[in-house]
Amino acid sequence: MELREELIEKVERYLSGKLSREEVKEENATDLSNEEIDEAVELFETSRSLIELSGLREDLRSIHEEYIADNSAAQPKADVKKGNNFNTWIWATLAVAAAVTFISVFTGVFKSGSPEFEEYFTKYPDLISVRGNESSIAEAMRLYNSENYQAALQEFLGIKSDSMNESVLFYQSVAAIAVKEFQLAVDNLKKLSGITDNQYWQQTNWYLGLALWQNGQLKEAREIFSGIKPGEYRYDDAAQLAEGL
Amino acid sequence: MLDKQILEDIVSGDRRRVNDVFRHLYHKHYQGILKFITSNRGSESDATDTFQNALLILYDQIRRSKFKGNSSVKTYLFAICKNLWLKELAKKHHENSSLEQMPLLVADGQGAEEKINFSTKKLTLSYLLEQLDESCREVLTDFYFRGLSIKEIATKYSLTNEDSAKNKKYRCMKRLMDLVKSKNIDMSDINMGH
Repeated sequence: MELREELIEKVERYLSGKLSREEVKEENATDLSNEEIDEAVELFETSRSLIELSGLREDLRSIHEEYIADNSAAQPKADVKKGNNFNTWIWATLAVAAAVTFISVFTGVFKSGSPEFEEYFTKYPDLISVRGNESSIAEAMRLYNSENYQAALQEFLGIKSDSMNESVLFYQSVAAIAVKEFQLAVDNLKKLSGITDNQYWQQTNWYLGLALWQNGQLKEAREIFSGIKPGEYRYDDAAQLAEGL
Repeated sequence: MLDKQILEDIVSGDRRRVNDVFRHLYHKHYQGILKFITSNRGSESDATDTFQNALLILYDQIRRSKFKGNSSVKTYLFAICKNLWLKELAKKHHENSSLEQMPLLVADGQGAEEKINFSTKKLTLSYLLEQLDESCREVLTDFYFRGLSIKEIATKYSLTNEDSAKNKKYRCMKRLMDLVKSKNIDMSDINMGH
């Protein structure tokens, strides 16, 4: 049996209840037997199933990247907290004492427990696939990946609005945060968080919280961080910031 | 997240909820699996592959109502991982691909074992999509997995109209179906919970 596109369309309409089996059969009465229709239906369902599996696999890759990013960001802080041997404790104590002395001498201000932005901001890994005809996006992502955020941001801003999609908006926002264009990041990320099926919705919350914080909108930032739930992107850090800001 | 919530979220088929479950399970159990596999002649990347495959199997079993809830999700997931890894080790050792068809067994913690009706061949086949060109792969994933409409696909890929988008979608689906057919797959063994 040759799989024609017309038949595939009919099989899809049949499976979604828009066409009866008889209608599929009638329209192909001279060509197809019952067995052939069965085969086409099974092939269609199998293919759809493989698309689903492949899509889930892609999602899992992103989740793995997030997990690794989350844990690598949390690791140094966790190690200091644990202080699992005497030397670590001594060195940590000396480091804290030196920092306190430095801050007291040069600023006269002791900001105990104030969270530092640099400890929390990390670049989000590049998970987008760029098609050949989107060279400006590819260039922007190349600059982003090499951490040349200023140039990346300029490249992102030059992308025509009709090629803008949520990925571009998202990575543009992360680049904007990196170069301290916080208002731009806030505007973009608020726009993104309004898109119902935004695939970066968890990351959007995290980076929006960071941008709001650095933009001086502390109340809003706290609300965003408090709304990040266990298991979601950067939950542990968000919980610390919700408490510490 | 309770097991009941995990089941409900997966059964819903809502991509966001399913991803939340995956994230939760990652945070709770990945380290345990990593430890198990790296202590049993595996690498970190073996652990990642095994854990992700186990999550896909768990998803499939729940969607097809094959997971009875006799054991906890944690026990079930760990058992799948252990079985998958032992099969992988056996396969590496004996280079016997028929092991893909061996049943997976999950103990319920009280001595009984439950057979998981899942061929790991299905996991291998999910890579079949990668044999399509990128634009086809993306169009099919956008429509059948990400739930974009034909209109959205026309806009996203700068196609002249919705008819062009529809034609592209069916052309790509035909390529995939031809590939599946050429592999002579036993389809009853493959289909996931639709």
